Amino acid sequence: MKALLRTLSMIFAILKKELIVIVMDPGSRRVLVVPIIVQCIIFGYGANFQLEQVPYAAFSASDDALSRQVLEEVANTPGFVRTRDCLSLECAAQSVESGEALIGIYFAPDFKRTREVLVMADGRQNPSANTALSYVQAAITKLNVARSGQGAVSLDVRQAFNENNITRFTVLTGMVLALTVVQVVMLSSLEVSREREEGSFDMMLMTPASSAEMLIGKALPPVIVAVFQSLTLAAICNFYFDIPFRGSVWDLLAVILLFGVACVGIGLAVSVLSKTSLKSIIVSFLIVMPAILMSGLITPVDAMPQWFRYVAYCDPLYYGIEAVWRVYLQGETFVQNLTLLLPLFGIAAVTLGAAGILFRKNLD
Amino acid sequence: MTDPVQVNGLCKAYRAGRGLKRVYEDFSLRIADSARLVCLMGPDGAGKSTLMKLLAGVLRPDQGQVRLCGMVPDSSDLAFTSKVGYMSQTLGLYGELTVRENLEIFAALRGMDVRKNAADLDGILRKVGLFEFSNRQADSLSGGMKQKLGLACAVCACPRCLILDEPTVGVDPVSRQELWAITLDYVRREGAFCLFSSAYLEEAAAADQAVMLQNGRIVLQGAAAQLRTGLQGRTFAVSTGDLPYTATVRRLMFSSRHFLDDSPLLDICPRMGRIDVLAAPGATVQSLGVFLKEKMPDAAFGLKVAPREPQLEDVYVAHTLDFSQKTALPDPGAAFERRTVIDVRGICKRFGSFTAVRHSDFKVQKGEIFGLLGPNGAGKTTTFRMICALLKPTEGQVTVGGYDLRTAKSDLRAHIGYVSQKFSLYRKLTARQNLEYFGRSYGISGSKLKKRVEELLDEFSLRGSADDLSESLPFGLQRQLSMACALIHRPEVLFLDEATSGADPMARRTFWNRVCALSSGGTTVVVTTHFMDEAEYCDRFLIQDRGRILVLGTPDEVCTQGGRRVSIEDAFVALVHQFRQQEGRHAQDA
Amino acid sequence: MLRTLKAIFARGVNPAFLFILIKKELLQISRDPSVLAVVILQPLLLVVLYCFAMRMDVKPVEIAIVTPYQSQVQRQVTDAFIGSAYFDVTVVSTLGEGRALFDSHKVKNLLYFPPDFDEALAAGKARALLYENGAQAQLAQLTQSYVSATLQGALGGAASGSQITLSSRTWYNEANDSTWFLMSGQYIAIMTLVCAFLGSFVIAREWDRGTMESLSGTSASSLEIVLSKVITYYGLGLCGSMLTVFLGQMFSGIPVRGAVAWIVALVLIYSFEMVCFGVLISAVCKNQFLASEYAIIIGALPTMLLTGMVFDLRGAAEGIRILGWLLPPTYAVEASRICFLSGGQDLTVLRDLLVQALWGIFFFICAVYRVQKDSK
Repeated sequence: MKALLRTLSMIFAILKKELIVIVMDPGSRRVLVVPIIVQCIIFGYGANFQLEQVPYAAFSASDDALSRQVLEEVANTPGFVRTRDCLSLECAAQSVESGEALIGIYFAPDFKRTREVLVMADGRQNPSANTALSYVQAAITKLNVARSGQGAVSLDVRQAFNENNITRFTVLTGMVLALTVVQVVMLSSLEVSREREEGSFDMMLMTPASSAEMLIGKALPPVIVAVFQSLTLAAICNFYFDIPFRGSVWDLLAVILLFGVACVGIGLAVSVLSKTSLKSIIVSFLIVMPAILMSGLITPVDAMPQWFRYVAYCDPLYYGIEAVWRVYLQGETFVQNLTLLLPLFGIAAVTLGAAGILFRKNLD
Repeated sequence: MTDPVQVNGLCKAYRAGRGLKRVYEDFSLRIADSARLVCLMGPDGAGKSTLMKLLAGVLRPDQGQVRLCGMVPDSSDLAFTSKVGYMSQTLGLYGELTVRENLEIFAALRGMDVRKNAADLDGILRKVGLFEFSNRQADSLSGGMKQKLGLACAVCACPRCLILDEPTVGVDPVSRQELWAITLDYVRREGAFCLFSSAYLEEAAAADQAVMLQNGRIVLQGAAAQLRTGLQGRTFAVSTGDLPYTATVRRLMFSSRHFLDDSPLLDICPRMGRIDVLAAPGATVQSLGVFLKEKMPDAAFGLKVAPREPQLEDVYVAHTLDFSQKTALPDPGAAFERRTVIDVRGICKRFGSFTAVRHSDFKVQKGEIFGLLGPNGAGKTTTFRMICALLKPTEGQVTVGGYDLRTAKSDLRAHIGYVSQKFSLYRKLTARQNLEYFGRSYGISGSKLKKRVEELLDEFSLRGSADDLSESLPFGLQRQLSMACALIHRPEVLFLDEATSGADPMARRTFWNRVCALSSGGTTVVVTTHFMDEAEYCDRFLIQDRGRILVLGTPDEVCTQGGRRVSIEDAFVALVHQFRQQEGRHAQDA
Repeated sequence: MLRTLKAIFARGVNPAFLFILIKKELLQISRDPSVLAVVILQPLLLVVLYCFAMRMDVKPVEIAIVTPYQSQVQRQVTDAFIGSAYFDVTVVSTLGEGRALFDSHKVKNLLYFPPDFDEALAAGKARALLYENGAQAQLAQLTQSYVSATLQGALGGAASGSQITLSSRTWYNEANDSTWFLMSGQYIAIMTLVCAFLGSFVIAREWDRGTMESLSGTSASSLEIVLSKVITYYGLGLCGSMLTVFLGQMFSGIPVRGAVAWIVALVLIYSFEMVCFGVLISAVCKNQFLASEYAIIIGALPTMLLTGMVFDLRGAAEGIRILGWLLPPTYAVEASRICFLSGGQDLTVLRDLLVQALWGIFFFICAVYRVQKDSK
């Protein structure tokens, strides 16, 4: 009992010191709070795969009434803005080429016979172009259904957990962890190397704290920062952007904690291995960027080739973000999430364990 | 000729936290052309470095005029920088570049054509003894060599004015003599003007003129000989005869004004086997004799008081006397058994093919002050770190307080305190938070911790800056804080690694008063220092070079040569020279 | 401020000083080559990721089709789905089974034909139900368009010839490969990361190590100090940028339809701009940790998300769109897309490059001013 109390007080001493170091300096305090909020808000408004605006150009060489109907239907689609009234195919083509219009719609003189609407899309923006094409397709389908009433199927889409298919739901909730990871890994990667540079590492070693106590004391503050940042971001998602939070805060906290520990383990291992803080920063940066890119936040993991998916399966961010989506958007519980949390736990155990071994080895 | 330094109505303030810290307010200084070598001295925070930066054009004055050799300091003016050599306290060398590369960069940036003058640069390197190390990275140089390189960079472009900020700080006596010789030689040969700052008063005494600053004001200005006269009649020497030297030093110290409010002894300093005293005005040989007899009835018959010539150090101390930091007297009845606390048996440390320490053997008794002396790179810090269990010896065994370092590190650490060479507390924590952190790490908590912290804040006069970030504290207070943190758990063994490096004489007095009081109370103290005169306080010390112990003994044992007591510095320099010559011969033989 | 700057620039550059300062930077790099990791490893890692791992087109999509009544039409539709390369189909017979698969994340989509599907189809009012997991919005949207197209295709054959069909050509990216789109933008992102990150160390390091003070005690002007760093690290950054484009072209096989000269100009100018940006951050922060962190935060992340590189700015809210068009990388991304994928548009590219160059010079002047203010 007494030994436990002693251990706790050692950990507390280091923990408190680290927290003060992080929070006291106005520079590092600012960098922990302001950027994530600003970024969160900017991405909230900026990250959107939906198109608010589809500029298009159209030219009809056919005098068929149906072509006018199609154009009317397209023009009625929300967001579609006609950039130019074209009187030639060249005009429409040029409009697409210059990037002024995303798509160009063309009715050939034989439209009456072929009933084929020709659309050229700007492939330089291929996701947007595809989206715009699907809007046009939807408009045409609607017209078809209305006209023939035969053989046509309307697709009734229910998007569970995100009824209106708002990109922000996906991106922002993913950002809850993605914005945090940059700073948490960097912060922890500096914990040992910076102290070594400043000479205070020896002073810490001179205290009676054991290496495990030191490691825990050093690991906790970045985890606390991670929790604080993630919860702030989740709060912004919920209260500012009105993304409905369907899960329980405790389940979310569990995910964040596990994720934080995994990241801090990586950071600490880097820190012990790096001789200078410059090296720590570079190495952690080399780890963090790919981790974000592979996480499935920006592009889905399902789109990766099979062999690369195995790499992604080592990324704590992949499990973390998926788990946050499930807790936040789908309201799943801790137990339902175990398939994701167990690997995350495994990664945390491996990274923190590695950090511990390296730390110990380094002391002798 | 114009006066080399003219400062009129200078005002300079720094931004410190939210407020402004005024260093100078309406400050004026004039140094006449007759003085070629001028020393700036004064306690930490007196404004020495600021003045030097202003003169070198690195800082701009807020108000007032500054002239150096008739020029307005402007570091973007080639005409100015080519004539002025500035060496900053931090040196500002590029650690990963070689000696030669560093020199070339700073020479070229002062307007020198490096290629044409390659031979000159070689000459400079030869002169400072770094020619063989031309291709060494600056980071891997010893402290003394780094300072020499810094000096070389400052003089490389043949400036007419040299501004050297603490050129000899943290350097061993051998290197210090060399640095001093290089500077002197340059000034004499080129007829240059040199302004330098130093905590070594013998350097100030050797200068043409000394200027003492305190709190942004001039306290003293003049040649050392002239300044000394002010203290005529107040300086005495006490010889100890057959009495044990270090014990007597301590007893006398404990009856000085630092410990006793109405004592006529203002300052006690062991020097060359006798005890130098600065007395209150009006004291005479007789009155001091009476006082000693009263305080030390059993020993007074052995002590002889005689008048002596005042030294610059006495003048300095007389101006900076500060009795605010009262150290508690050790309990006179504190009897402790004399037992071995530190037992070092045949330790060796090898880094690759380089042997830093070879077969060191020594024992330290409880309550002893034990000194480790040696030139830069002699292996002192390595030895030190091995005793503190920060480094594993390649061979040999160390026991401290009965704990074997290999098995009981954690237990041992609860009983030792450690002050490292450079300031290595947490810069982003305040003084109080640092104390609290170390207190908690040593298992003190709650009201006990609070009480101990308050106690230490008072004892080390840190109260005024208890809530300032430790990185913003002046060096003097940083040293105080390091010491306070090392003492928070009342350790039985205290390790002080160059704890007084860069400190002015007064701060060192306070430091040694405290160390002596601690050791008399039963704390074992191991120190390293580059101030050789400080070894006079030690019960015993050893001198080490290139990893080997050259000599070990009491100050009297080591420093009596042919029946004559020499200063520790002289003994040290002689020993090291002798050893190196022998080594050289051995190497040739082999 | 203007007067200070005028004075600095009026003094000009002393070539000897500049030479020795650049030599110093090069020596430092050669002694501590860890920055080279940024120049070589970083582009390599990111290019590989973007070329092989980052794709927007999921193929195949996992879908469960619930066909409770194995009618002819439904079988026909199911077969169409099974035959399509876009789908990985699981056929179940009850909605309950489907839901179970969906809820346990075994499939992300569920297509359901209601009991009255066949009759409704005949009446022209047929509805098929698609359940999607909206947690991944872009994936959901993609799936929706796949399903819709496949459904129409399967049933379209039965319909009369009067149906309007859509025939689309995706210009400049005929295969509709998202790598083309991503990669041409990601060149800019990688260059930003490499160059801004490189630049962010350089001045902060001098402050951290106390060498700034000894430099300012010499005759080197702040213009020379900043210039020496910009030149050296521009050289390095340029290597990184060229490596990026080279590797990217090798792995992704995206075409070069514009003039190579434009691409070269883009790489040259953009790298310069970003190195200056990094150096400015470095001069402002005076601390390596903060500088590199800000380089990532204000340099890299917005570049990835606000420049139309991944998310089209046309989808962003008005304010953000304006913000996006204020950021220089947006123009660089536009120029890059034109240069690689379509060619032509010389005027637009020229404008984009000019914007980059102006920003670069602006960053450079600010950095010089900042160093002057802090050190002299």
